[in-house]
Amino acid sequence: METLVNMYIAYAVIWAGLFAYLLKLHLDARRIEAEMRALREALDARGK
Amino acid sequence: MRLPPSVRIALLAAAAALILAAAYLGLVAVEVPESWRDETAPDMFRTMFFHVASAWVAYLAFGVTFVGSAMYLRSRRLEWDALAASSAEVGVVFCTVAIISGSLFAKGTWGVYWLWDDLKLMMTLVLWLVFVAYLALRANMPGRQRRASLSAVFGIIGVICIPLSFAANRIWVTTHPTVIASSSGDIGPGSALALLLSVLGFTLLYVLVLGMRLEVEHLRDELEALKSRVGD
Repeated sequence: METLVNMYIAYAVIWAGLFAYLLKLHLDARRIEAEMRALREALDARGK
Repeated sequence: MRLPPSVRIALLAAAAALILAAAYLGLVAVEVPESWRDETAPDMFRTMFFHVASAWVAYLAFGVTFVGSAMYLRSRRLEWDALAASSAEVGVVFCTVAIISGSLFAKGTWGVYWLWDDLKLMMTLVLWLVFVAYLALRANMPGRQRRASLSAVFGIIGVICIPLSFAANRIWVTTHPTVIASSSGDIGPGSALALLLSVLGFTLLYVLVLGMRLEVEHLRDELEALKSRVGD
């Protein structure tokens, strides 16, 4: 029984890690988009 | 390439439904097969539904890296390089999951987390290390085309480890069990169904994660191009 409980706990941690990776990808994409918006605004301001 | 939000939600929902169904079948409904009941901890058999599916996705992802690398060398189109790199990263994540879940199985069944003389385990570790090195190489190499060319060669050579890792327990004598020994396996129809659902669910999860990772790769390329325009 203890083995099974440990296994479930370990799998919960692994799933949390997988979802953290998904969240990281989502946040990376949003951060890069924000950086690109700022750069485009800077380019527009310089009239390029 | 960007997966529309509706496609992402559909993929996530389908993957979650399949994995939850597999988890219910594999962890609750299915009996431990006869051949596993003499093991130290027979319930560790249930690790298989998670472990095999994540290992399958790792092999699939590294296979896609091989295809992307070969297509890049043929066409010199950076889209193929982006596919290869994204799939390699996702493959490393799932290979890590496979190694961790395998270690949990090993601890429960054999009493140790790792067997250094087991060729199946060692070949999988080598596979993981090769693609970690691939990612490290990319992260530290300047020049977009040069990085793409060198990592494509690395990605093609690295694929050799996939059949070695997959077939190690079938070619050599290893402690690692061969669960799918025949077309139907010796695990029973319920377990076979749970395994199939799990593999399908993990494959959909891979498609979702790969789509998200590809989006980040393309955005990075666009950002680099914009930065060079601002720098001019």
